[in-house]
Amino acid sequence: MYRAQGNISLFVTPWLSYSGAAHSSVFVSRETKQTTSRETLQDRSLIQIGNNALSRHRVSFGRGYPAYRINHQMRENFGYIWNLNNFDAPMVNFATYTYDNQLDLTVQATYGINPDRKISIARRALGAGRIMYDLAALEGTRIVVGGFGDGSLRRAASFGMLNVNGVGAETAFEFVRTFATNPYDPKEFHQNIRLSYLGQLQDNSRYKFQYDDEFQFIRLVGFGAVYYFSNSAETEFVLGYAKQEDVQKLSHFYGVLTAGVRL
Amino acid sequence: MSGNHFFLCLFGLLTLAPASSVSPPPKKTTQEASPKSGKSAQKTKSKHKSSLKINSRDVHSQKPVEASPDRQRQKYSAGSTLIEVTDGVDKPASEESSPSVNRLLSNPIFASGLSTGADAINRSIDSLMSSLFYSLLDNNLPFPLTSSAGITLGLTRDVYSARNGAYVVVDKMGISPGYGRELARFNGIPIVLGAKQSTEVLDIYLRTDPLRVSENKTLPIWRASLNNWFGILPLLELILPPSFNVNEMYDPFHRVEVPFTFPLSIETASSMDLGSIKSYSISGGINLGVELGVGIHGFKDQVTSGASALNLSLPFSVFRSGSYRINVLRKDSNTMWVSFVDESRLGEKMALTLGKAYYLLAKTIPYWKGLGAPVFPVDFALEEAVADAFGQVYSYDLREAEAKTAFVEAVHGNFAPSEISWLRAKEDKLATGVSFFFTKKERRFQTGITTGSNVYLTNRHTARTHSDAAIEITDPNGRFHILEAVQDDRQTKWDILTGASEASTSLRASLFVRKVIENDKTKDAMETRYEFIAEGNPIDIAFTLALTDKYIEVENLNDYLETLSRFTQLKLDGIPEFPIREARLLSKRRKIVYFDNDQSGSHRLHVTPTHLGKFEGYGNVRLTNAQILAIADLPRKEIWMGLCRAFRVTSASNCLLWEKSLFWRNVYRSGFFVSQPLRLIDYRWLEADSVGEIEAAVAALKMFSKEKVPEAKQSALRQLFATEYPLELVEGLLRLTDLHEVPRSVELETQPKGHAAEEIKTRFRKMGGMHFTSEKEFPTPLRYDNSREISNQFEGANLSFQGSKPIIKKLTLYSEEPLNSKSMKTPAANTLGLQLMTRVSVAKVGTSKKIKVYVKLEQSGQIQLAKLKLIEDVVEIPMFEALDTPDQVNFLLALSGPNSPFTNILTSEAFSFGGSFRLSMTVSSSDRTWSDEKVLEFKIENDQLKPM
Repeated sequence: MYRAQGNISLFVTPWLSYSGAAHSSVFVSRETKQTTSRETLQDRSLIQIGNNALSRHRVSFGRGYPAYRINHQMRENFGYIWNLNNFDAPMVNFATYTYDNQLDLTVQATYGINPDRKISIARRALGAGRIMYDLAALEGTRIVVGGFGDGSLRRAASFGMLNVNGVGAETAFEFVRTFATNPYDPKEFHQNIRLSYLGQLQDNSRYKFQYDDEFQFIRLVGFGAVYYFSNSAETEFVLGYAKQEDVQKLSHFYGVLTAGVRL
Repeated sequence: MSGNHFFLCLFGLLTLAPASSVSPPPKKTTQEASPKSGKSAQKTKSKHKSSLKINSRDVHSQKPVEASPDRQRQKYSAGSTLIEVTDGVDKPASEESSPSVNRLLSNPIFASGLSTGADAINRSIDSLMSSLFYSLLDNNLPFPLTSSAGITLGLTRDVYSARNGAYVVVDKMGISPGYGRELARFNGIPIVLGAKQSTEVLDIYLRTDPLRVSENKTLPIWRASLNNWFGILPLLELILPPSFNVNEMYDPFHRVEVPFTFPLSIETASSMDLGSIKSYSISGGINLGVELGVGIHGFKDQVTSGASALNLSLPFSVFRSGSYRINVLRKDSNTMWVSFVDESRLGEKMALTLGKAYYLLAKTIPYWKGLGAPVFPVDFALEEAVADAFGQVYSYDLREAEAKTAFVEAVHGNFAPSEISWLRAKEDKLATGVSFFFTKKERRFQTGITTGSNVYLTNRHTARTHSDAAIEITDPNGRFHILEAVQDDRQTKWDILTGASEASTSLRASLFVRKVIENDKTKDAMETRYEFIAEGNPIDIAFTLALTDKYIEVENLNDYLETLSRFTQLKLDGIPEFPIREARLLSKRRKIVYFDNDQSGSHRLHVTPTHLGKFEGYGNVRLTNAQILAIADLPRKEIWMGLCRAFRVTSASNCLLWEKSLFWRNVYRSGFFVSQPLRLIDYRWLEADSVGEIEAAVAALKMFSKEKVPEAKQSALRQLFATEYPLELVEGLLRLTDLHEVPRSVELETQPKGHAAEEIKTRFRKMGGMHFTSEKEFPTPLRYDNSREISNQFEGANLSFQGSKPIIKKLTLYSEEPLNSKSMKTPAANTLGLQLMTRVSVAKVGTSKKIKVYVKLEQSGQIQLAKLKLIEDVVEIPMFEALDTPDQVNFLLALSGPNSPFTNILTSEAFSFGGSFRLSMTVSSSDRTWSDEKVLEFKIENDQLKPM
């Protein structure tokens, strides 16, 4: 599978900015070497009023997957590879209000609408929230609590902790649960526990590690490193192992090679 | 100013069967050490085969990286405050800084024993490390005999931090038969009878890292392996966070040896370490009580199945217990001190606990109960008891035959030969070797309250005991009596991220009295009463405050300094100031976060208050009878106003209104109905409690003023000290007195840690050893102080290595250019890259023929999970006479290079990769007494040695 991803941020003034992200993927069969599918999708398109460094009150609106969890990723999301349950909120048109006291507390509240007009208006509404609180513990720890719910009775709740120590190493723990139609039906229950680590910058490189445990479905582990050629260019390699816990009981090694340019 | 930000990312995903080889990051090529630069460079040529060189010369090929310069003594007067900065010489430990042996052994609050099992587990597991690892060394093996009776064999270890980086280890072995039976039920409430007897032996000793490493080298391989859990312990130390304390788990079998090393003979006594304490006790008790309890069922979760989520329990019991304890302290190589305490207690206790002890990962490993996880949001206990205690302390010089005999009898519980020997020494002037310190008889009425909450990841507890006692002491100069009123208050907070912090206060009044026994003809019985001693100050009052925090930030530091200042009413001038947040980090964050949006950047933390390290602060205040009487004789209005200011009552009119009117006091006191239930979770609401507290303090002061007899004054002082707000009370009393006549002092100790800027850490380090005193000096120790000082010798906190302790005056690190290959025996040596040398200057080495150097080098590697230890070793350095000034030695020690005793593949690779490093060094001339640790942090970048 080959994938290209682009992110763009444009600042008209310090308090008015546009942020967009999109990706394009090509799937190639290992056996036949033929292209099986292609897709090009927009991930995010937002206008933000307010600046993260300067403003206590900010509003952003646009289209994307509203953030409600810490989602500290050390490797790209492979939801489309093994049909992993995607713990992100659905793609909606949304508006988010953020209060940031610029000291230790950030509170976000989001209201969104599913753009699919085939669904009734009542079922298209989405609400999400996230609270992030920073402690001085261990030289900087962030506690993130959030959740979302929509009219289609999808629910999710997340708790996460991220520590960034004095030399810049990042260690994160996240616990997220989703519930669909029936919150107590075991089949509707999905849970992911993630532990991730990103080492400090030394010799232009950083080591990384991530472990995901999706309850009774799949376990993923990955080790890797990212190397910075300069402030604008980097490359990254992650090698990992995936073991499925469902009826298929498959397991795979995987590798990811990434190159990035920042302008 | 606008900016554009564009990021393009390309990646390919491959699924592989075998893992493909991954190119490691580019390796640094080894280089020769940089050419010398800087000032006064002077090359040295090594003429010695070994790199362990005494009698050095200054060698600088690059600018050396020096450890913090030794502190210098400064003295100046600023108003009523004197400041001293010590030079790192040992200071006597504060009385109240750490738990005493008796507190270590049995808290009177818990001594009675309750039938609920929540008590033990709730208080024994106070950290994740404790539940994961340390509890492995707390083994209680029950052997049931019947349904009601059984025997428990206990092997436990507790480790406490002492000053100067050492640890006090308490290993205990005990056998406890017990009996517990439900006698009857009344309306479903069980009535329980319990009885327990316990025989315990303890070993209390000091341990430091250098001592542990040095000891490992002298032990047989099999014992060293056992001590280190067959290599598991060094591995745990490597991968776990720095809060993991190796000493908690090192040498687990020492606990089993404890009863066999108790000094019942001269030979065993001679094998005790200098300064260590051995103790044994026999205790027992019986209690009769009722226990109300109910399980509270919460939500069902697929993890738990039907069990109650929480248990509410209200036990109440009456109890009687007794204990007989003998403590043996090896004072020096020839002198042993022996004390014994015989105590009995009678009292009642009630408790209220809401919670449950869960066991995580239960049934995953056979025979393992699981990871104990206590969750007790409410944990309250109240106890009242009367305790009678009798104790004696003798000293034995084991060079004298008579002392040896008396010592052996004493450790077996017979002190009669000791008394005889001492009398012979005193009256017949014979050198028996036995000295008598004192005999103490005490009857104490005490009330203890504990409040707290423990939710596993965080907990807080407050334990408060207030008591009054009649004490009779007989010392070599005769007999004297003391009436005492005391309150001890200890508040502990702990959380999984930052560890523990503790605030302890002690309010103590000692009344010097004479005991009068009269024949009361009306009752035809002997009556006892007390009279004040005519000469001198009849009442001595001491207030002490101890604050310890292992993880302190700037905000906490400011709060602690303000608390110390308010407690002693001393201005703490000259203390460096720290910005709450580092300006450079704030600026750096703004630049990065400027371009973020709210849907990403969740990992961009705010800049949190700067972490400084470990902090200890001690405050002391002394008052006399005249001073407290002067306060008590003040008009009520003035006393109210002074205490109101201390209790943060901002409105003077409210204060005056409360003083005048009981009605308004009751109106403002209504917050009591909210604040009292909050006490159950250890929360105090000052605004709601201030009226009641001030009213009680004023009433106690007026009672003290009115009463003339010592017992009544003692009672008044006990009432005065029985407060939930001791800090505010002391501040209020000091506000009402003439501070020029009150001796006060504040002492600070600091240990910088973490990654704050070096300049901040240096300033924080300089705060350590700062000593503030009032103009008025503290009185010379009184007769009672001498006996208390002797008792303090048996305090775990005051354990110290005996003998003169060396001092590392200066530690210098520099990199040395590789020697000319022609002069080297190994031609390849000049390609080995950076060669690090240390130059060490040590004082007070004594007359030893060799010194030992403990070296620890840790790296902050790319994997910043835990400290990575590159070097931890002890090397011996022979001393050459007549080369150095007396009692001082300078030597060189190579950390790397062909002649270094520490060179291995790990250090070579680490130095070649570069990074940040931390060097710790300590020296000893006797293998037991080690110097304070000297720490030096440095970094290697591009094969260049640089300061942090």
